[in-house]
Amino acid sequence: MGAGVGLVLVGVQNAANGGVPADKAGLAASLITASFQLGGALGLAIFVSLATGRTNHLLATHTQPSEALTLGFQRGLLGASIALVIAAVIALRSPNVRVVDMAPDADDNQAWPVPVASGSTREAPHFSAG
Amino acid sequence: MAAIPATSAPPSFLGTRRGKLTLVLLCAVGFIDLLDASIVNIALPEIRTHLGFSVQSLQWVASAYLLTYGGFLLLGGRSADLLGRRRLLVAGTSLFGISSLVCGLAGSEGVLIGGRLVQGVGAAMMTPAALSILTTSFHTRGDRVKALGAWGGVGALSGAAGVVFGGVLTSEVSWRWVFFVNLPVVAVILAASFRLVDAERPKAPPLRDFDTVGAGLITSGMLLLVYVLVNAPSVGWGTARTLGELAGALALVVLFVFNEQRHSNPLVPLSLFKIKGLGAADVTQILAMAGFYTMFFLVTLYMEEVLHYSAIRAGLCYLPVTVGAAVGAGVATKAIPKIGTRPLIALSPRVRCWALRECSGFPGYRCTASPICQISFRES
Repeated sequence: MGAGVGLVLVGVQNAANGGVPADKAGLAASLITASFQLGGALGLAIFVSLATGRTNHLLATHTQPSEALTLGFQRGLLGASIALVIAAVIALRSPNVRVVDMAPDADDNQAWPVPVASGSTREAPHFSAG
Repeated sequence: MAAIPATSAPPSFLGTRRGKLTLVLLCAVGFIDLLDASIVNIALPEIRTHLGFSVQSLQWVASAYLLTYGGFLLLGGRSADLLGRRRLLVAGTSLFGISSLVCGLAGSEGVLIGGRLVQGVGAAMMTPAALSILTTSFHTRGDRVKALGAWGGVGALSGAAGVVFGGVLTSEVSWRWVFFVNLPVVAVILAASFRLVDAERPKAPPLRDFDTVGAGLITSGMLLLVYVLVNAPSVGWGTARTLGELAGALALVVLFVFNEQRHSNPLVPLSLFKIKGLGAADVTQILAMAGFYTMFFLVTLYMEEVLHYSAIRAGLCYLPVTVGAAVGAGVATKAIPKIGTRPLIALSPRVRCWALRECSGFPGYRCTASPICQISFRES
């Protein structure tokens, strides 16, 4: 499990920061960190509710407390696994990012490097002035 | 890692001593910010007996930090771009240090939760400042992959490390040290920031046309959203309060997007999402963290409530997870230059999903889904 977390965090950090121009690096950094935080809060809120709901239901039907807790946790973890499967599907459908060199603190937006994508190149990154 | 061909490549900053030290400094910032989210969890029962907390407000010792950390992140990240990254790093670290001291000395509920709220604001300034210093300092391709690899690996380590440290500090010293332990780290970060990171002067005149409305909208929207998420399990999802607050948060975010489209100098230029892979990476991160955090939380509860593990024992059960995280991060760093990010990101939820499925069976001691842990604890 730890290995999976290590893989995904490194991969996602590279993908989210790999092609960002220097003058927006802070913004990109905060977006990926916010996703980290928001995901944690979202997951806890939903799946812990799932777990408690199941446990309370079982307690009401006179299941042993420890078993009710365990089965509740099981339901919560099942939900968590489903979130991970969806994450994998989205990752498979997303463009593959190869990190490229960045001009040190380029102050003109035109000069920043375009990420080399192995997939389609339909969307050339472009910054409008406004 | 293979040496970067010396012919045409720009010099590697990471190859220098200063580069290595800079990377250590920045990773320490990321580590301590993420660590503080998980380190208090295991100390909660002791805090409750010491300060006479109600269960309801006890939850806020953990959540207050997440609330302001998540709420102020976008503002913090953009400010780093506009006002200077080192400036934000130093300001955030100082705020973080002072509030850690306040938390450690706290004698009442209110002071402790207030301190945690300020700590979160500090972290919201530190993390994006440090990560953007990292992505801009290590600008050759080889350096960036390695530096981002170290950053991601540290992020993966921090959750489990928080539980380990929290367990050890609470059992062996006192819950107060869960906060005091930040102080020496903060002192080192501050000293090193001035030595290693260049002060840069932002080029654009940033504040003349600052998107105050956008900053207000997204910060209040994120604060409300995290607040709803923290409260929903106890208040109930179907209640008018939860639904109303959710709708409010959504409305604020929609207004924010609308505002960003019109503003001449928006807080978040929406064109950023045209960068290949960025949006998808953020969404993947949300879902992956939703799964991972939950597992962390539930397995810890399981160890404490069903198996009746002590704080220190529950903490030590996470050691194998930290080792796994380090190995995973190392593998990813080697593989990304060769195969790109997509295969790895797609593969890893499957690795974790498999691990989760193993644990959701919950046969007694196999809860941690780690063989090392089973061996070491079955004997005791």
